[in-house]
Amino acid sequence: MYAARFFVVVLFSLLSACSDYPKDVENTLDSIKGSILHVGLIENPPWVIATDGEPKGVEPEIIQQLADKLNAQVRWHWGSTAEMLQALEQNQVYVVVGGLITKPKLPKIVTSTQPYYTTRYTVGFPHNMKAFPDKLKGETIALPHISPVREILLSKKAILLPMENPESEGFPVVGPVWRLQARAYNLGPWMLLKQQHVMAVAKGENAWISVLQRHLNGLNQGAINEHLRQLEVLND
Amino acid sequence: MISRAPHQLPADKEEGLAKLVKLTWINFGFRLSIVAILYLVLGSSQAMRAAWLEDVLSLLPPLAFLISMHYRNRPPSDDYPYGHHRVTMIAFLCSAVVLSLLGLFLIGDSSIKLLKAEHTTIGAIELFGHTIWLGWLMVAGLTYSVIPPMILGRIQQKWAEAVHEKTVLVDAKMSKADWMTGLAGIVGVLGVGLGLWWADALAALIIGLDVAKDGLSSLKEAIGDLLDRRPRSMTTGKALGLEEELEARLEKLPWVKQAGVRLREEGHVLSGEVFVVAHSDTDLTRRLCEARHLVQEQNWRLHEIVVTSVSSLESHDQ
Repeated sequence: MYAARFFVVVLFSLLSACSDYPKDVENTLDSIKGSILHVGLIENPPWVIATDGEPKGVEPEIIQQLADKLNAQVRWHWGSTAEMLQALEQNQVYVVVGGLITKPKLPKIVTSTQPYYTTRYTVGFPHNMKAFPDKLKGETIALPHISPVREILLSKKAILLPMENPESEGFPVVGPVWRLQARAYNLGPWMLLKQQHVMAVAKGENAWISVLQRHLNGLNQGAINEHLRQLEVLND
Repeated sequence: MISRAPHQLPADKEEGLAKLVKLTWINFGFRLSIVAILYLVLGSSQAMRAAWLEDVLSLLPPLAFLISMHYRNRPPSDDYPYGHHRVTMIAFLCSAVVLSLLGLFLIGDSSIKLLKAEHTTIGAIELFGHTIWLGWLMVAGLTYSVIPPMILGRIQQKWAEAVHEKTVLVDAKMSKADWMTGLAGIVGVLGVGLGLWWADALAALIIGLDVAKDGLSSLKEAIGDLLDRRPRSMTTGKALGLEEELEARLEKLPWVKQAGVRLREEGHVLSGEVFVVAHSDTDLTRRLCEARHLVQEQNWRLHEIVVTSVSSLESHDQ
């Protein structure tokens, strides 16, 4: 019983000692506030778009808003995924963005926020096609050569046409809902794949990840969707 | 072929056992709810994971007890002439092995984390429109996991000692380990919140040491039981001394020159042999029967003790 009492006493004395809670192991949040937020960028349109000047895309904009809130200046650093995640592990950057998703998992050297947006994949039909088929079985569907839904469509026994430019031939195409919407396709009722979007953060920076998470949770899903669609239209 | 007579508990013990079964069901229900609640807030905290794993494994002893209760009262049969009392020993051994392995795993895993200086991340999640630190939910879940075992463990211990249920007594120890683990987990999570990267893995290591200690001492106990070690007190771990008591008792009988007793545990039942050296062979069958009744009356746990006459205890030893 003494052990229990000891624990409780330690617990409360620990808690009463802190105003800002949780804290970072490496003081990331404190070093960002009123100073510089180093951000790792991996090119991945429309999430992160490289330009000659400032980066564009959904995620640089989200980060810029947070930096403004924290009264910090953003410094952007471009690189490959491997390079950026290593830089993150070594605290050279504080967050890495680039359309990162939960599956496949990020390497264990870093951690990630909770998902802040979900991309859904479905089949889109050109609007001159009158009716949807009931099933995908036997349907001819165009898709880019590299696509995360290829296996899923094969398992549904669809006939696949991998091509350079799937939207050029007037076939039904598969893709993220926002892309199909931007191209004015009629959306099929199938939900083929969900991709959950996250940002990568160094392990143990619990104050910083909490602030980032709060910012992400405050985002308007409809606005992100709209932004993605606009970026797709611009891309055409 | 002859099978053993079924063992009958005294009425008050029977009642105590029924109460114990009920308590074990309540305990099992609470543990299941704890496992479910902690799973929801698991996250990547090492201490939290350790506490949860321990809670998952803590489902085994009550389950083992309830299952063995189902089997142990089956009467002896042609194929199992000695009855099914030993089923509790099997249950006991299984839970001890699992507990030991878990403890060793936790020690290894958290030591590696400490050596690699790995930082634990506990982020924030959205709950009912508010973003809150997951650590607070973990602390809430762990607090819930501390209270029921703290209360139930004490009752278990008292009741299990009364009816000599070793599985439940081990389970009472497990309850104690459970709530201490919960507290260590809380300290670990709050330590992470303070920016102390080592707090979490260290708490997990302490939990691991505690689990391993419990597991290994239970394992020793279980192996002792299976090797037919002489009966020991559940509480102190010392020999009960029942053998000497019986020998003294028998030697007071006028026809007995010398008596030797050896006993072993079969779950809650004690069985064994009594060797008596009689002064003369006169009326020996009736006398041995008298000795058997005398022995049987000494303790409710003694069951079907075989009494046999020998010419001398020494020659029997050889």
